[in-house]
Amino acid sequence: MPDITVSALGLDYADKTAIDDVSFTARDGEFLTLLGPSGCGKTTTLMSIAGLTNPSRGSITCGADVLFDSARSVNRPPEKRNCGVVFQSYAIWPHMSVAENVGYPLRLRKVRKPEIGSRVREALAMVGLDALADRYPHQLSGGQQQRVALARAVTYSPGVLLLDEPLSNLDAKLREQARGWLKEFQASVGLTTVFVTHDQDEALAMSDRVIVMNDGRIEQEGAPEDIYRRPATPFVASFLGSANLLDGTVDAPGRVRLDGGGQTVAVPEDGPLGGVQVMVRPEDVELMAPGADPDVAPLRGAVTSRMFVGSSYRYVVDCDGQSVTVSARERWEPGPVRLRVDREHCRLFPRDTAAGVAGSDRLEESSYA
Amino acid sequence: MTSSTSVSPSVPALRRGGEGGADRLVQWGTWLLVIVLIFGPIVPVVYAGFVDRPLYESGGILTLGNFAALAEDPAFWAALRNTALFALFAAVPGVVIGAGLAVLVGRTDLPLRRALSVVMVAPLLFPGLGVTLGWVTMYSPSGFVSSWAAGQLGSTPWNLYSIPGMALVTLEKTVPLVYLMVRARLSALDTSIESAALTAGAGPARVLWTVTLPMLRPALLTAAILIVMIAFETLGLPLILGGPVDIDTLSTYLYRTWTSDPERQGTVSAAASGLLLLVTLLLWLRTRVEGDGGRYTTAAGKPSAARSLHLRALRWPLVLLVWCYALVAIVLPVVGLVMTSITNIFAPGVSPWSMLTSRHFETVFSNAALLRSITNSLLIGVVGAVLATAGLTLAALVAHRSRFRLRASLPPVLFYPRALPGIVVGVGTFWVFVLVAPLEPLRTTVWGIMLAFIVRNTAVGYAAIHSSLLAISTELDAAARTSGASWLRTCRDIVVPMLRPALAGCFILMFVSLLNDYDPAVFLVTTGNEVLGVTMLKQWAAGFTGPVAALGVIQIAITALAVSIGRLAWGVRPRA
Ligand SMILES: Nc1ncnc2c1ncn2[C@@H]1O[C@H](COP(=O)(O)OP(=O)(O)OP(=O)(O)O)[C@@H](O)[C@H]1O
Ligand SMILES: [Mg+2]
Repeated sequence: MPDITVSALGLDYADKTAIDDVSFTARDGEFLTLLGPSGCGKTTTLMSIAGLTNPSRGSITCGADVLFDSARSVNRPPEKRNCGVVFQSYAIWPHMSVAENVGYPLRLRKVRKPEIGSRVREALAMVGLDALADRYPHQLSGGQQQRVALARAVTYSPGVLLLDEPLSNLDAKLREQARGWLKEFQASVGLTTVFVTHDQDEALAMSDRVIVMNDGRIEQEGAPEDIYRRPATPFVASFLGSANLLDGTVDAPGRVRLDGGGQTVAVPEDGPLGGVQVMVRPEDVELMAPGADPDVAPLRGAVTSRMFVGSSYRYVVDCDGQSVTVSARERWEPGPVRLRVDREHCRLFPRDTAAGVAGSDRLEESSYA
Repeated sequence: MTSSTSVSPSVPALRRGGEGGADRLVQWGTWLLVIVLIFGPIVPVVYAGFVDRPLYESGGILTLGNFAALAEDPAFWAALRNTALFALFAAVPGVVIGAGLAVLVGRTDLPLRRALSVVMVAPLLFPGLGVTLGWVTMYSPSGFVSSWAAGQLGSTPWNLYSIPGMALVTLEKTVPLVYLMVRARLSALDTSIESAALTAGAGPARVLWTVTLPMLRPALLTAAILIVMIAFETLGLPLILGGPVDIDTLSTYLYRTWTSDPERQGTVSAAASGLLLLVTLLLWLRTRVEGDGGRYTTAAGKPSAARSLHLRALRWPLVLLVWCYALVAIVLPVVGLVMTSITNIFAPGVSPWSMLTSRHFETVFSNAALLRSITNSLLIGVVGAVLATAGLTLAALVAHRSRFRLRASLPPVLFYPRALPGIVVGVGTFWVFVLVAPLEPLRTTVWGIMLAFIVRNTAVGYAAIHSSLLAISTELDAAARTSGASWLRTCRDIVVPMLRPALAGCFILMFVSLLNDYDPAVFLVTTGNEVLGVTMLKQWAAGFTGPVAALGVIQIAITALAVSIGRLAWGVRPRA
């Protein structure tokens, strides 16, 4: 399977730049995810690869094939790109049976009838739908339609598989199952896959690599653990999981004085200087009794609210005017507490990049919602 | 990756090269065809207005002389004034009655609403001339109702052969149009705003007046503009009712000057260009108003279960009033038409039952020219509807489902013929056939007339396809494209099969429109290519009302048959 390389891709609409300077490579057999909030340009990027949107600049190559290159005015039409695409709505053709849907790409490639039959059966068996070959789309559930779409996208051995939020139409339970199933399927077929989602759990669970996009640009690119543990920007920090972002100033290497009361926290030493934001995730903060040893739990604060979220409690702790969200299994009553912050898991961002934070100093709740 | 062989990579690759060549050819071809067909007939009309001699004479010099001559012709100004009055008299009652009926049916608990709804739109399918004849038998000074009224009141308080009389007869067509437009608007409005006003203590009449009516303003305005457009372009009605008393409207002025005074073709063309400009402006205005309509939309999606206002004591008086209207304006003229076709004389004072005859139908079927007009009209209807449906489908696909560079120009062009007066299309087509030598043989054939009719009615068919096409998700064709299908193949295999009901609708509506159209044909008909409407017009002018009525009845019967088939098989409905 070839690599897909996107370089310096940009697309301008009359009143808006949908994507700008997007570059990445999806390596052979890799499961690459484009993750970002609604309207950040994920679909635009994906559909540019498929040839369904015309970018304004940049280039896209698939192995040695140039699919699009604005400088050389190459723009191969979608039918000549050999991409397998699964659309958000699945786009199963309602006037064709399941088998006809899956066999259509083969018919276009002039494959002989008996072979079409056997390949369709093979593909449907792979997605576990061999019994439903003669049904029509309206007789299928959402999950089954999604599998038909997938089978249709892979029967003709496309060079790359493009998936645009294929799980977003499923209910929560089914989505969970489909996630595991899809990942397995992709690994077994070994297709280079570009997957688009705005669901961070999905991205973290399924991908080999994740590209986080924001407002038409790439924010960060890396393995799931990597970007979760070491977000490059406050935006990434708060878009993936929840993050506390505390304002402060570095007054010595490895020490930040927080705005408000002037309490200090220990942070890793390799960071920016001057005005910073300290990022720490709720699960990396520990609540301790007000009488705890200040060396172990240096921050003073007061629990202002508590929410039961099933596996744990979520607390909001007021720390000299900045609120810190803490996730803990023990039950604490509102009132004074001490906080222990896991130094290794803190990240520092220079204060001026804070402009791009999703939801600014509010905590992003998505992972617990 | 042990199991990666489960998708074996031995699928033949797609052919390379000639990327989208066929697609592009079809797209350009379609676009050019649309542009040539729709603007082709307009060019010579406008051009003829600006040269100093008939188009068939060479060496024409550009001039404004024709417009000057027109401005000096008092008959032109009289015609313009008459048309303006005619438009006014037609628009005001048309909008009031149509909107009133729509509100009563759509928003109140008026009894028998469904039946009324069917009766209200039926006239849209009636041939214009036949119905006019029906009105004449009932309401002309010697008509049934008029004589009865004269007997009761001493004199008839109305006169059909006058501008208000003409306006009265147009109600037949305009009221259903307004009715449909307002109904459509009403069903897009959320009834909860009315309920809110009701709970706030307003009475039903007050709610209608202060809440519903203002929300309808854009629809009422577009309806009024539409009626004005109709008044300006309609030919048959003013010819028949205005002709005998020398009342010219713009279109009859054009028609008469054209047919009686070949020397003045330049002036006629100048007037036709003016008419074209005016109607185009009206269309533009209408689109503007419709576009602004979004502002008045209250909620997306379906309205909550439509609530109806209780009329209480007004219920029965209103029912009576509404059905009286239906009787007077819809039922009686049709009765008049049918009776004329099956009696020797249909006049007051003579019992029609003693006069029954099948003579008129026999005439129609034994007279070669009359019979030919039926077969020609059917031929034009069927062949034209097939061709138009195919062409409009392609055009709609290029406009909405391709990345063709000029695609955005197609929808306005395809809707533009709404503003093309039949006379302009007729004169223009005539000129094209005269001037373009290879097309000359078409001039005296039914195919020439068919082309003119198709051009004039594109908007009807296009509207039917357009809305359904927009309802089909573009991801469905995107999926076919990425699977390896070219644009053309995608259209053929995916979009067109899903569009089938809309195509059937387009076919039926085109058939009915082509069957009933006649304005453009008055300039093209010769022996051999007669069509129903023109034959009726000529027979009537010659005083043979019996055969006219018989032809009208036949026309209604064919239309009704086509529409019922469409309705039963595909749920086709007439629309504004
Ligand atoms: N035809 C268009 N004209 C103008 N702007 C457009 C058009 N299509 C998309 N956009 C804009 O481009 C931006 C990127 O759109 P895109 O569909 O790629 O977002 P997305 O990341 O897929 O979002 P979502 O998660 O909601 O699907 C959006 O801000 C959108 O408003
Ligand atoms: Mg999207």
